[in-house]
Amino acid sequence: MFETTPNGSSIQIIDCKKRLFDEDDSIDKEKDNVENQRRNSIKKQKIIASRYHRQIPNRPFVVLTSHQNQRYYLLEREEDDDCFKLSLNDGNKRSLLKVSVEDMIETNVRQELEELTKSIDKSTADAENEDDSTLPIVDQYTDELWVEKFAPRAFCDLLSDINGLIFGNIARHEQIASNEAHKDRTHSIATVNKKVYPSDIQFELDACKRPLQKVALLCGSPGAGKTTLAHVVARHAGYNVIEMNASDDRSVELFRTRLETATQMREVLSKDYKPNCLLIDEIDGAPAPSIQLLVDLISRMPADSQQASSKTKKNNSFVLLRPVICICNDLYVPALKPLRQIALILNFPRIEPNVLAKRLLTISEQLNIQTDMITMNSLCAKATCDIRSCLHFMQFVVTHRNRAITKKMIESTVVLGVKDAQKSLFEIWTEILQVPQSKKTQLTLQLDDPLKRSGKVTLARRLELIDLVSSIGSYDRIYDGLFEHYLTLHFHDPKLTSIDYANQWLLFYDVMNKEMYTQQNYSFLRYAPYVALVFNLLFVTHRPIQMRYPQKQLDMQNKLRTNTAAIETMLNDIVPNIRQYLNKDILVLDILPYMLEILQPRLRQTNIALFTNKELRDIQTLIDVMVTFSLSYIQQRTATGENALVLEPPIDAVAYFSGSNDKRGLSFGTRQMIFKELLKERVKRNIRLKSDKQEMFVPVNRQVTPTPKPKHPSELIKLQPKAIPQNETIVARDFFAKFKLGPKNSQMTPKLPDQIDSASKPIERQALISFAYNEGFSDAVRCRIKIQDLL
Amino acid sequence: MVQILIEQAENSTELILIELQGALDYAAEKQSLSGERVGFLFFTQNAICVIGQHVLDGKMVELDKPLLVMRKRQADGTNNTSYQVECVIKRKLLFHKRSKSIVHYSSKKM
Repeated sequence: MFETTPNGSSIQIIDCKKRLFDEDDSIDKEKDNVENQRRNSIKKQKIIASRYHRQIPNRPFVVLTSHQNQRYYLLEREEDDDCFKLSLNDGNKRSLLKVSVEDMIETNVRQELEELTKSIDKSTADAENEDDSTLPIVDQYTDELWVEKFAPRAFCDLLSDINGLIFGNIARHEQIASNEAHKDRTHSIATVNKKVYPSDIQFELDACKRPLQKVALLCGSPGAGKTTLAHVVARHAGYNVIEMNASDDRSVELFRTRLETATQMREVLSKDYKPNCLLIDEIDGAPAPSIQLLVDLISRMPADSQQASSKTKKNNSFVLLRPVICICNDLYVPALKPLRQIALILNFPRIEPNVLAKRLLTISEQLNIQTDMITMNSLCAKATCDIRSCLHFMQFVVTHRNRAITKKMIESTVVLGVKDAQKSLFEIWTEILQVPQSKKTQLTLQLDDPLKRSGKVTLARRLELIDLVSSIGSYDRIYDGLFEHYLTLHFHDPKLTSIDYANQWLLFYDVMNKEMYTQQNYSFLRYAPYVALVFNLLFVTHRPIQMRYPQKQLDMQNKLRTNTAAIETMLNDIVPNIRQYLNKDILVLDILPYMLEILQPRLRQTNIALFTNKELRDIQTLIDVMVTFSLSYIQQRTATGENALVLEPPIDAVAYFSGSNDKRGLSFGTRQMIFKELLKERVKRNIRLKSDKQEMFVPVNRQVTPTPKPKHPSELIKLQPKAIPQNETIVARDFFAKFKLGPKNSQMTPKLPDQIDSASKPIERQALISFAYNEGFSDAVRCRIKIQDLL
Repeated sequence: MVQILIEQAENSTELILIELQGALDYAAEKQSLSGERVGFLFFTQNAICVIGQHVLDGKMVELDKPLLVMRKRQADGTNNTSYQVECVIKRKLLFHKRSKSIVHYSSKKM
């Protein structure tokens, strides 16, 4: 790195010197310019005064109108009027500042250059002095980010590095890479590696001698060193690393071309040929189609390629023969799902804080920074073991102040620069509801009064929680999850005070939310994270919690929507003269629960002919209600595959609470019977409506009395329509019809059938004499008559 | 030897016998059927009889042996028992087929 800079800087120095000489000349020029300028301005003012006229001049002019509506005539400028020509030839020297911007930039550059040359001189000197040190230690802190400086460069560095778990990962990873290497280059390194790191994963090779899982997916928290690891491993295995940042190349086409070039091309220029290793960083930012493309590419089989080549389709199908390492922060991004199934997933564990602190301490020792273990520990805790942000912090402090990092400094810093520090919702819930591993001793949870517990949680912890929750921001989600699960938690609460308290807080949050969303009064937003704190105080447990993603809100919303739709359709179909007294609330609260009792009477499972009078009456009312509220049954196939008749619209779902005995419905057979009767009744009413309409025009003195009830049970089932609704319909229909039919309704005395004009409709009235046909035999009696009977 | 005097009535008319394959029922509350209409008889090519809710198809048949309808005169002091022929029945309307019932919309009347 340092070999390149001196050459580059020397060129720049020469450049700069040239410019400096130019500048000396320009300063002389400027003096002349200033004098010229003064002279010009005096001249200009004179000319300007002479150029405005109140009357029309005899030379070419332009008309101007002032704000006071006065007219001026402005003479056109003559060509030789050189003082008005903007001094273009002077360049940008005529500016508001005395020194032009370019000058300022150049002086800046010059200064920087001087510093640079100084630093280079120094660093080369230092490098000569400390040649034998393992890490290049430089006194100047500004030249390079520490993160890069202290990044492990070789596989050996890694081995001495952070902890054993990562080492295991490297070993496995190495094996994949080495497998590839073995195939690609037939190098002996691969076999050696295999012996050195016997892995616990069985590597099965496919037809192409590739490992079964061709992609390694590294995931872990930000700043843990995933990218560095991938680089080191790939380089160690003898690959030429090609890094692709998936967040940048978003379009699918670009992704494809880069993929293909990376995996198919080879370096031509360099002497020692190395196969490429594709490193896709931040793949969780890539769009789903790109990932799908990658997955297709990976899962493509070589046999396909042979077929494809025979079809001369070479550029579209090639087999992936190079290792691919993907790096992501969040493994569970939906777009990554196809990749997750085929990739070897290497989970980056969190680094233990004390291990990291030890490491940081060695770095600071090498840099002659005064610090101690405790400080480093607290730094690690603050940065949540993010190596990158730790190093950044240290570099920042050291360059800007002195060579000492104290604990106070760390505690005074509020925010550390954290990259992608988004915690998932599940982590948040765990954080809120579970006692952290290390702090178990701090809390004693067996207090009777949950509110007293608040004193036991440290202020720092509380602030940390609030920070955490407010960093996510989607309070609704967090509290949905808390609300769904807080009753399932194990907490000690004999008097249910904490539940009461929690409910109050949830209510408070709801009230605030409503205020925020209805009034746009977002000043309440800052109180939102405190609900989480309260939940933490009330329900925190030692036991591991099992959270699921909150579903109930969505379920309930769906349910509400279907129920409202059902009620609305029902309300629309009710007979108008009843509907005018109803609204949704009345229907749901006052009518439906009782109506369902009517709709589901207690009926025996017998033949309809065997029903008692009460049951028949029940059925009749039922059908009456169903017709009036235009309810019906429709056939549906249940989940178990049986046919079932359900109410349409499904009002029983609206009125019954879930879990109550809504199974107590009618049996399928009864429902079928009711449905049949309902259809009959509908037809009857339709016909009646039609005939009523006809009657409006042909007034016939017609018998309106209901027929006497037949005694035969089988005839009862015909369910003669009641007279009352019919009268209602007549009354409601027309004023005139009511007028005509009014007196007739009043005389209800049944007349004898033959007294009515029987001649016109003889068949319709009920006959007195009926004929009964005797089949098969004759009843005729032949008897003997003796003559004496005749006498 | 008893002689029964049979004489022809002056204004004797012809009666036609109606033979039904079945029985006539009537509503129980009616005590007598006097003045009641039994049914209707139409004559097309054949005869059609409508009784109550039934339609009967029949035909005119000549009786093999004509029947006499006679009125008995009881013997009083002067005369012996004698019979007067009211009419002669030579034909009958035979309704021997199965009756067809008439179905009509009872709901229409309501």
